[in-house]
Amino acid sequence: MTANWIKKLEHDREGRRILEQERLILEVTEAIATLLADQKVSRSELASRIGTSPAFVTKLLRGDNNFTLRTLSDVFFAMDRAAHLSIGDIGGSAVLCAGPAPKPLRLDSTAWGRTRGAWAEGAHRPSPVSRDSEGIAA
Amino acid sequence: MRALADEQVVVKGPAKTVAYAIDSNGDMPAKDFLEQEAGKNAPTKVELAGLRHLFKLMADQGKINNDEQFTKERGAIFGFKKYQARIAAFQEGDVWYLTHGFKKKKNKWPASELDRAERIRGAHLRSGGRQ
Repeated sequence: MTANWIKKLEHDREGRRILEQERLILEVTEAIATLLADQKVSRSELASRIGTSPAFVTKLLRGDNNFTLRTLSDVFFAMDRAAHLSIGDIGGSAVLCAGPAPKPLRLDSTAWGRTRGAWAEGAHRPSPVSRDSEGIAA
Repeated sequence: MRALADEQVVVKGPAKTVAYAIDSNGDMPAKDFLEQEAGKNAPTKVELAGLRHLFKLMADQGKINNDEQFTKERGAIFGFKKYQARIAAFQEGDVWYLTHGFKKKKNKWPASELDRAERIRGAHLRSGGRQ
Protein backbone atom coordinates (compact mmCIF):
# COMPACT_ATOMS: atom_id res chain seq x y z
CA MET A 1 0.00 0.00 0.00
CA THR A 2 1.52 3.27 -1.10
CA ALA A 3 -0.15 6.63 -0.57
CA ASN A 4 -1.36 8.34 -3.77
CA TRP A 5 0.83 11.42 -3.34
CA ILE A 6 3.91 9.16 -3.04
CA LYS A 7 2.87 7.18 -6.14
CA LYS A 8 2.56 10.47 -8.04
CA LEU A 9 6.06 11.53 -6.96
CA GLU A 10 7.54 8.21 -8.01
CA HIS A 11 5.65 8.22 -11.32
CA ASP A 12 7.76 10.73 -13.26
CA ARG A 13 11.47 11.28 -13.67
CA GLU A 14 11.37 14.75 -12.12
CA GLY A 15 9.70 13.38 -8.99
CA ARG A 16 12.24 10.56 -8.72
CA ARG A 17 15.09 13.06 -9.15
CA ILE A 18 13.77 15.15 -6.26
CA LEU A 19 13.22 12.03 -4.13
CA GLU A 20 16.88 11.09 -4.58
CA GLN A 21 18.02 14.58 -3.55
CA GLU A 22 15.86 14.48 -0.44
CA ARG A 23 16.98 10.95 0.47
CA LEU A 24 20.62 12.02 0.43
CA ILE A 25 19.88 15.21 2.40
CA LEU A 26 18.01 13.21 5.05
CA GLU A 27 20.80 10.63 5.32
CA VAL A 28 23.39 13.36 5.89
CA THR A 29 21.34 15.49 8.31
CA GLU A 30 20.17 12.48 10.33
CA ALA A 31 23.72 11.12 10.52
CA ILE A 32 24.96 14.44 11.91
CA ALA A 33 22.09 14.62 14.42
CA THR A 34 22.72 11.01 15.50
CA LEU A 35 26.44 11.64 16.01
CA LEU A 36 25.70 14.80 18.03
CA ALA A 37 23.32 12.83 20.25
CA ASP A 38 25.55 9.75 20.61
CA GLN A 39 28.64 11.80 21.46
CA LYS A 40 26.68 14.31 23.58
CA VAL A 41 28.10 17.16 21.53
CA SER A 42 26.03 20.38 21.53
CA ARG A 43 25.45 22.46 18.41
CA SER A 44 27.56 25.22 19.98
CA GLU A 45 30.41 22.79 20.57
CA LEU A 46 30.26 21.49 17.00
CA ALA A 47 30.13 25.08 15.71
CA SER A 48 33.21 25.91 17.75
CA ARG A 49 35.06 22.83 16.46
CA ILE A 50 34.47 23.76 12.81
CA GLY A 51 34.90 27.50 13.34
CA THR A 52 31.35 28.59 12.60
CA SER A 53 28.18 29.67 14.44
CA PRO A 54 25.48 27.55 16.10
CA ALA A 55 23.02 29.07 13.61
CA PHE A 56 25.08 27.55 10.81
CA VAL A 57 24.79 24.13 12.47
CA THR A 58 21.02 24.61 12.75
CA LYS A 59 20.86 25.37 9.01
CA LEU A 60 22.93 22.27 8.37
CA LEU A 61 20.50 20.11 10.37
CA ARG A 62 17.47 21.60 8.59
CA GLY A 63 19.00 20.57 5.28
CA ASP A 64 17.65 23.62 3.50
CA ASN A 65 21.00 25.03 2.36
CA ASN A 66 23.57 23.55 0.05
CA PHE A 67 26.83 22.77 1.79
CA THR A 68 30.15 21.97 0.21
CA LEU A 69 31.69 18.52 0.45
CA ARG A 70 34.58 20.16 2.33
CA THR A 71 32.17 21.49 4.97
CA LEU A 72 30.52 18.10 5.38
CA SER A 73 33.89 16.38 5.63
CA ASP A 74 34.92 18.90 8.30
CA VAL A 75 31.70 18.31 10.26
CA PHE A 76 32.28 14.55 10.39
CA PHE A 77 35.99 14.98 11.07
CA ALA A 78 35.14 17.28 14.01
CA MET A 79 33.28 14.30 15.50
CA ASP A 80 36.11 11.83 14.78
CA ARG A 81 34.23 10.30 11.89
CA ALA A 82 34.45 10.34 8.11
CA ALA A 83 31.79 10.24 5.40
CA HIS A 84 32.11 7.52 2.77
CA LEU A 85 30.31 7.45 -0.55
CA SER A 86 28.14 4.53 -1.59
CA ILE A 87 26.49 4.42 -5.02
CA GLY A 88 23.28 2.41 -5.23
CA ASP A 89 20.05 1.95 -7.16
CA ILE A 90 17.48 4.71 -7.59
CA GLY A 91 14.42 4.35 -5.40
CA GLY A 92 15.94 3.42 -2.08
CA SER A 93 15.02 4.71 1.35
CA ALA A 94 17.25 6.69 3.66
CA VAL A 95 19.81 4.44 5.33
CA LEU A 96 21.64 5.55 8.43
CA CYS A 97 25.37 4.92 8.56
CA ALA A 98 26.22 6.69 11.80
CA GLY A 99 27.12 3.69 13.91
CA PRO A 100 29.49 3.62 16.85
CA ALA A 101 32.95 5.06 16.30
CA PRO A 102 35.30 2.55 14.71
CA LYS A 103 38.70 1.65 16.01
CA PRO A 104 41.43 3.70 14.36
CA LEU A 105 43.01 2.60 11.09
CA ARG A 106 45.87 0.24 11.74
CA LEU A 107 48.90 -0.70 9.76
CA ASP A 108 50.17 -4.19 10.10
CA SER A 109 52.41 -6.47 8.07
CA THR A 110 49.68 -7.41 5.60
CA ALA A 111 47.52 -4.44 4.70
CA TRP A 112 45.61 -1.37 5.82
CA GLY A 113 42.30 -2.42 7.23
CA ARG A 114 39.21 -0.79 8.64
CA THR A 115 37.99 -2.68 11.69
CA ARG A 116 34.35 -3.42 12.49
CA GLY A 117 31.97 -0.69 13.53
CA ALA A 118 32.29 1.86 10.74
CA TRP A 119 28.90 0.87 9.34
CA ALA A 120 25.81 0.40 11.43
CA GLU A 121 24.25 -3.05 11.54
CA GLY A 122 22.17 -3.52 8.40
CA ALA A 123 23.55 -0.43 6.70
CA HIS A 124 24.11 -0.43 2.94
CA ARG A 125 27.82 -1.13 2.56
CA PRO A 126 29.60 0.01 -0.59
CA SER A 127 30.58 -2.79 -2.92
CA PRO A 128 34.24 -3.45 -3.47
CA VAL A 129 35.71 -2.07 -6.70
CA SER A 130 35.19 -4.63 -9.43
CA ARG A 131 37.79 -5.83 -11.91
CA ASP A 132 35.65 -4.28 -14.66
CA SER A 133 36.05 -0.79 -13.27
CA GLU A 134 39.75 -1.40 -12.81
CA GLY A 135 39.84 -2.24 -16.50
CA ILE A 136 38.13 1.04 -17.40
CA ALA A 137 40.61 2.99 -15.33
CA ALA A 138 43.47 1.24 -17.10
CA MET B 1 -8.34 0.82 18.08
CA ARG B 2 -9.63 -0.82 14.89
CA ALA B 3 -7.30 -2.21 12.26
CA LEU B 4 -6.11 0.42 9.82
CA ALA B 5 -7.91 0.72 6.49
CA ASP B 6 -5.60 0.58 3.47
CA GLU B 7 -6.41 4.15 2.48
CA GLN B 8 -5.30 5.36 5.93
CA VAL B 9 -1.79 3.93 5.65
CA VAL B 10 0.97 6.24 4.44
CA VAL B 11 3.89 3.89 5.00
CA LYS B 12 4.53 0.69 6.94
CA GLY B 13 7.89 -0.40 8.24
CA PRO B 14 9.43 -2.93 10.61
CA ALA B 15 9.35 -0.47 13.53
CA LYS B 16 6.27 1.72 13.03
CA THR B 17 3.37 2.50 10.75
CA VAL B 18 2.57 6.06 9.67
CA ALA B 19 -1.12 6.62 8.96
CA TYR B 20 -3.72 9.37 8.62
CA ALA B 21 -5.84 10.25 11.64
CA ILE B 22 -9.59 10.44 11.05
CA ASP B 23 -11.52 13.57 12.02
CA SER B 24 -15.02 13.63 13.52
CA ASN B 25 -16.63 14.05 10.05
CA GLY B 26 -14.71 11.06 8.62
CA ASP B 27 -12.21 13.20 6.74
CA MET B 28 -8.43 12.69 6.83
CA PRO B 29 -7.11 16.28 6.90
CA ALA B 30 -3.43 15.23 6.63
CA LYS B 31 -4.24 13.29 3.45
CA ASP B 32 -6.11 16.30 2.05
CA PHE B 33 -3.05 18.49 2.72
CA LEU B 34 -0.55 16.07 1.18
CA GLU B 35 -2.70 15.42 -1.89
CA GLN B 36 -3.64 19.02 -2.73
CA GLU B 37 -1.93 20.03 -5.93
CA ALA B 38 -2.33 23.77 -6.21
CA GLY B 39 -2.52 26.87 -4.08
CA LYS B 40 -0.14 28.79 -1.89
CA ASN B 41 -0.81 26.43 1.01
CA ALA B 42 -0.06 23.29 -0.99
CA PRO B 43 3.21 21.46 -0.24
CA THR B 44 5.85 21.62 -2.99
CA LYS B 45 7.27 18.50 -4.67
CA VAL B 46 10.50 19.03 -2.72
CA GLU B 47 8.60 19.16 0.58
CA LEU B 48 6.57 16.07 -0.33
CA ALA B 49 9.74 14.16 -1.23
CA GLY B 50 11.36 15.16 2.06
CA LEU B 51 8.27 14.19 4.05
CA ARG B 52 8.07 10.84 2.26
CA HIS B 53 11.60 10.02 3.42
CA LEU B 54 10.95 11.28 6.96
CA PHE B 55 7.85 9.06 7.27
CA LYS B 56 9.76 6.08 5.86
CA LEU B 57 12.66 6.67 8.25
CA MET B 58 10.25 6.74 11.18
CA ALA B 59 8.60 3.51 9.92
CA ASP B 60 11.96 1.78 9.42
CA GLN B 61 13.92 3.01 12.46
CA GLY B 62 11.13 3.90 14.88
CA LYS B 63 12.71 7.26 15.67
CA ILE B 64 14.15 10.41 14.13
CA ASN B 65 17.06 11.98 15.97
CA ASN B 66 17.10 15.31 14.14
CA ASP B 67 14.90 17.70 16.12
CA GLU B 68 15.04 20.20 13.25
CA GLN B 69 12.91 17.73 11.29
CA PHE B 70 10.87 15.96 13.96
CA THR B 71 10.13 17.25 17.44
CA LYS B 72 7.60 17.34 20.24
CA GLU B 73 5.45 20.46 19.96
CA ARG B 74 2.91 20.33 22.79
CA GLY B 75 1.58 17.52 24.97
CA ALA B 76 1.02 14.46 22.80
CA ILE B 77 1.47 16.40 19.56
CA PHE B 78 4.69 16.05 17.57
CA GLY B 79 5.66 17.69 14.31
CA PHE B 80 7.30 16.43 11.13
CA LYS B 81 9.04 19.42 9.54
CA LYS B 82 10.35 19.76 6.02
CA TYR B 83 11.23 23.22 4.78
CA GLN B 84 7.96 25.25 5.02
CA ALA B 85 5.68 22.22 5.43
CA ARG B 86 4.55 21.04 8.86
CA ILE B 87 2.65 17.83 9.66
CA ALA B 88 1.20 17.37 13.15
CA ALA B 89 1.16 13.82 14.53
CA PHE B 90 0.57 11.72 17.62
CA GLN B 91 1.56 8.19 18.53
CA GLU B 92 -0.83 5.41 19.53
CA GLY B 93 0.91 2.06 20.03
CA ASP B 94 3.13 1.39 17.05
CA VAL B 95 1.29 3.82 14.80
CA TRP B 96 2.06 7.48 14.20
CA TYR B 97 -1.17 9.21 13.16
CA LEU B 98 -0.90 12.38 11.07
CA THR B 99 -3.61 14.86 12.07
CA HIS B 100 -3.16 17.62 9.49
CA GLY B 101 -0.61 19.73 7.66
CA PHE B 102 0.05 23.40 7.00
CA LYS B 103 2.68 25.74 5.59
CA LYS B 104 4.53 27.58 8.33
CA LYS B 105 4.70 31.34 8.45
CA LYS B 106 6.79 31.66 11.62
CA ASN B 107 9.22 29.31 13.34
CA LYS B 108 6.94 28.75 16.31
CA TRP B 109 3.84 26.66 15.69
CA PRO B 110 0.66 28.77 15.92
CA ALA B 111 -1.53 27.81 18.90
CA SER B 112 -4.45 27.38 16.47
CA GLU B 113 -2.61 24.58 14.62
CA LEU B 114 -1.75 22.81 17.89
CA ASP B 115 -5.37 23.17 19.03
CA ARG B 116 -6.51 21.71 15.71
CA ALA B 117 -4.12 18.76 16.08
CA GLU B 118 -5.40 18.04 19.59
CA ARG B 119 -9.02 18.29 18.44
CA ILE B 120 -8.43 15.83 15.58
CA ARG B 121 -6.51 13.52 17.93
CA GLY B 122 -9.47 13.58 20.36
CA ALA B 123 -11.97 12.87 17.57
CA HIS B 124 -9.81 10.05 16.22
CA LEU B 125 -9.41 8.39 19.61
CA ARG B 126 -13.11 8.76 20.49
CA SER B 127 -14.19 7.09 17.25
CA GLY B 128 -11.57 4.38 17.49
CA GLY B 129 -10.20 5.50 14.12
CA ARG B 130 -13.47 4.79 12.28
CA GLN B 131 -14.50 6.74 9.21
